[in-house]
Amino acid sequence: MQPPRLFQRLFQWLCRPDLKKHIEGDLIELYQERVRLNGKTKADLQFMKDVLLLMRPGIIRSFKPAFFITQFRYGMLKNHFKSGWRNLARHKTFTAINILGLSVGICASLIIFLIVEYDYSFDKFEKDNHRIYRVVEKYTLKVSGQHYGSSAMPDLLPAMVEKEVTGLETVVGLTRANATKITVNTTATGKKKDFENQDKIVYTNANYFEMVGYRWVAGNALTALREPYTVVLSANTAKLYFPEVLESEVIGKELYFEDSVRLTVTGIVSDLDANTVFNYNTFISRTTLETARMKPRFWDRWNHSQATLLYVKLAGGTGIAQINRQINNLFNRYNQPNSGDPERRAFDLQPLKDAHFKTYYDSSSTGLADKSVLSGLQAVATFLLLLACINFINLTTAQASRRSKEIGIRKTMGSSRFQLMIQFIGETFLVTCISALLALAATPLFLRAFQSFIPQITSLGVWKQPEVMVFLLILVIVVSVLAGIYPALILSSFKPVSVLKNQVNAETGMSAKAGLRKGLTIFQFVIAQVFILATLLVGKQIRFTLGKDIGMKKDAVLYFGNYIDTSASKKILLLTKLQSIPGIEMASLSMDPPSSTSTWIDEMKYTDGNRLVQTNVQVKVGDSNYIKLYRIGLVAGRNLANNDTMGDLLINETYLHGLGFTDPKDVLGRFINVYGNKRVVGVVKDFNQKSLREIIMPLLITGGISSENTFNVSLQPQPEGFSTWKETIGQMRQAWKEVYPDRQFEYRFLDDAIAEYYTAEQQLSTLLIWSSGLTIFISCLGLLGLVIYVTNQRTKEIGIRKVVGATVLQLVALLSAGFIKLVVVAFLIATPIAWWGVNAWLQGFAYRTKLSWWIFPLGGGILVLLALIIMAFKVFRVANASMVRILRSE
Amino acid sequence: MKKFQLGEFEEIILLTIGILYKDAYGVSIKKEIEERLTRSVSMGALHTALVRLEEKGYIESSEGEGGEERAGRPKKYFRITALGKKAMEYARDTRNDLWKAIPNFAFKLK
Repeated sequence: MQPPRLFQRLFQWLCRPDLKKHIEGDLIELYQERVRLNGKTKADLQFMKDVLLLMRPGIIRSFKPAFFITQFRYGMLKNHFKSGWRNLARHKTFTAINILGLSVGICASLIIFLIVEYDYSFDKFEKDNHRIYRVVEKYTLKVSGQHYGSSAMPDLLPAMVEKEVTGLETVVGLTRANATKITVNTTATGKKKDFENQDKIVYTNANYFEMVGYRWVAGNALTALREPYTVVLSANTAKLYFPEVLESEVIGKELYFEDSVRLTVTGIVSDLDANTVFNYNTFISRTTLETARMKPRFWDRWNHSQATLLYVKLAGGTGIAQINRQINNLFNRYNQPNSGDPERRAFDLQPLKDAHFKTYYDSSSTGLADKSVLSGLQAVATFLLLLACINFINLTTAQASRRSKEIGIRKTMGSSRFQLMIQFIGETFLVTCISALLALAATPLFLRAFQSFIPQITSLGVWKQPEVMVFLLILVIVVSVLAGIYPALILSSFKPVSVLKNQVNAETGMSAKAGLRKGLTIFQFVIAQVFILATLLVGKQIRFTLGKDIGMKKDAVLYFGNYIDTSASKKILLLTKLQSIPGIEMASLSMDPPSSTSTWIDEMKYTDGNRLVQTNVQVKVGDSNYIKLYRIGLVAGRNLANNDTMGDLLINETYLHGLGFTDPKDVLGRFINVYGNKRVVGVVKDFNQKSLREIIMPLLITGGISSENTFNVSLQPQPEGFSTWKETIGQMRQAWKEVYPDRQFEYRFLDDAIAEYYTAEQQLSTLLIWSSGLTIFISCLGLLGLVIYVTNQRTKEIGIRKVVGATVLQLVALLSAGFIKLVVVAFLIATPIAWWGVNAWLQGFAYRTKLSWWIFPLGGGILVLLALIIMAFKVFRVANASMVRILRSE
Repeated sequence: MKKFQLGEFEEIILLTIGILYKDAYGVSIKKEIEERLTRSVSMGALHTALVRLEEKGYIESSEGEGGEERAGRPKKYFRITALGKKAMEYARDTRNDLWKAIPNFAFKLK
């Protein structure tokens, strides 16, 4: 009876040599006796237990480095290196294919590592940052149940939280602001100097600096932002505003905010040099906001949130739930008067580390990293590396027989299988290292391609970061093992006797190893095919979203108005001026364009006898030109009258149906309760108010010049080759400056704004195009390698066939058929995967393109065609080669 | 006090080696202890203790014959050395002294 081999080996390997023999004897003796008494199974188990319990300090031998050194003697290593190098040099084509594939994979991984590392490096430096949270809230519409998140807070919330909530160490309120103009009196010349569009301004207090951990260059950390009209600058901003003043002397200097507010500098903090969401550079005291002059319009409205963010740092040992409950209670108490609002609101805490990422709570903010994009990138990197490894495995095992002699002789000379495996993995390591060096050299070029994902990274001196080198080293080792282990197992398994008797022949196509190669090739092409199909389908959806008729005119329309002017006279003046510009077809005043990211939604009541219909309705405000300019169709009734004083309403078809009407004429003249009873005078055709991800909501359009601050302008068509628009825009700027001389003129084209809804999709599309390009490239390289190998193997067969009378075309078909079959199988596997994936992605859209069947054969056709072109290089050459030369070489 | 380091299990092994006299090797020691004291002894514990005892010089060993049931692996027979005997006596004496020092009434338990 034989005790369990593995455990016996384990024991032999681990035991001190002087104890080994007799303890092993004891073990075996006991084992034999137990087999007799208890049966083999129990004896086996007891044996294993005995062996495991024997692993104690007194019994295990000491492992001296000597053991490993015997396996890696310098001379042997040198020999391995030399034979590896010669082998690479002998098969230049295959070496080139391997190195090219691997370097593309490594290069992509490196870039993706940089991107991922960058995005996950945010806000690691704050003290106890795991205790810092951002307060966010979720709005749920009471009637429809629709919900959305937001990170904007009521302006009064920070102060109240600080006063009433217990268990918090620090409470930081930040109210973000833009300045179209900041003015500084320069000391030297006594002249004014303007700085336009400063956008990193924030109203806050001393708590902020304490929580984030700023270093104070000048000024007093505690008192700097206590008084109204004081400002703290970051060192760089101070240098920008006061270039010729010493840092210590900037204190007490003054700057003018929007020409009207005079601020005194009371402190300078050094700029943060880590990646952070706290990228502000001008800090105005929060008390400024409480002065009568500066108080924001909705300062004490609890149901209004716009520019205020709230960060809290929990005291050690406080739970999130506890804080959450307190904040929600506090809010509900203060918000009591507004309990009739259409939405329910719930506050929650979000960890600081998520503030840099696009989440439910700031889905529309720009400049945030997207975790799903990052995991997509990681998946792409993994695939590319995997594909490159597969190329290596395929090419190495296909050629294994070429090295059988070497292996046979090495084994006869006493090489162990372990040593041979080390040799071959070492060769893989060599190839991987060369590829890694190439990748390092090529990375700066590729970085540009990924620039749209991460503009910041390209400017960094990335090579100096130690993490990058550590990552590269780990990558090289992992890839070497992944690509090298299977070929090493195959190569080292040759039996010396059969090798030296010349019995290891080139494998036939039927062997198990060839089967594995086919499987791996299919796997490669499945991945390439999925990427191709996804690229085509996603591209189709993007074209669909941008090209779909959304029920309004969106070309040649622009809008502007970044300034809230509640009086009518100036606006009407500007409107008249605009209308007199010849290049302008029409101009209209409204609150916002018909398609925008605005979320003004209110709850409307409609009573019809006993029937009460409550609906969440999106509200648009516009003048009589509004629907004319945007070519929004009127189904029934009439347009709003000009200068209407909020007496009349237009509703859309969705709302019409929601109210229970089918014929639009029936609803005319009825009243809807919206800030008082208003009469429906017309019904407009449905149009998409938002991106195509969202369904068309019930909507009403009403008048009211006080809240109309956007000027919409439709331009006369621009003849081909002329730039009349530019001229017209210049005239518009002129008109704007005449009416609002101290305001910036900034316009946007509506189609650009709409295209921006789909930035994420555009990014995805870029990512997919790159991924499919690279996967195709690597897979085709591998295919080329295999074709070269097989064709070389069958050169003689081809020669004989040709002599016997086969045509070139027949020969090409013969050689390519097998590979084309693999590509077709890959297509069959990839189709359902791609269909399923894209279909899941499309569920995010309320309006989606059809997954037309013809896309799939198109994608498959592209890949087959590419494969054929690749193969044609080699196959045609062989099929056309001179028979005499082929058959004579023996 | 640190004169003779001898643990409880080590003492039992020494005693067992004494009992077995010329027949004391791994398996026989294990069986003898298991039989007499009805406690199970793992090979690991036994052999570590034997290694330790030999290092302390309390026992010495000689190689014996192999045999089929041991797949040819030799037995290792253990003998108690003079130092080992002293250690055993020391352990016994100190314990006896301690016993004697216990006043009689200490055992009048209920």
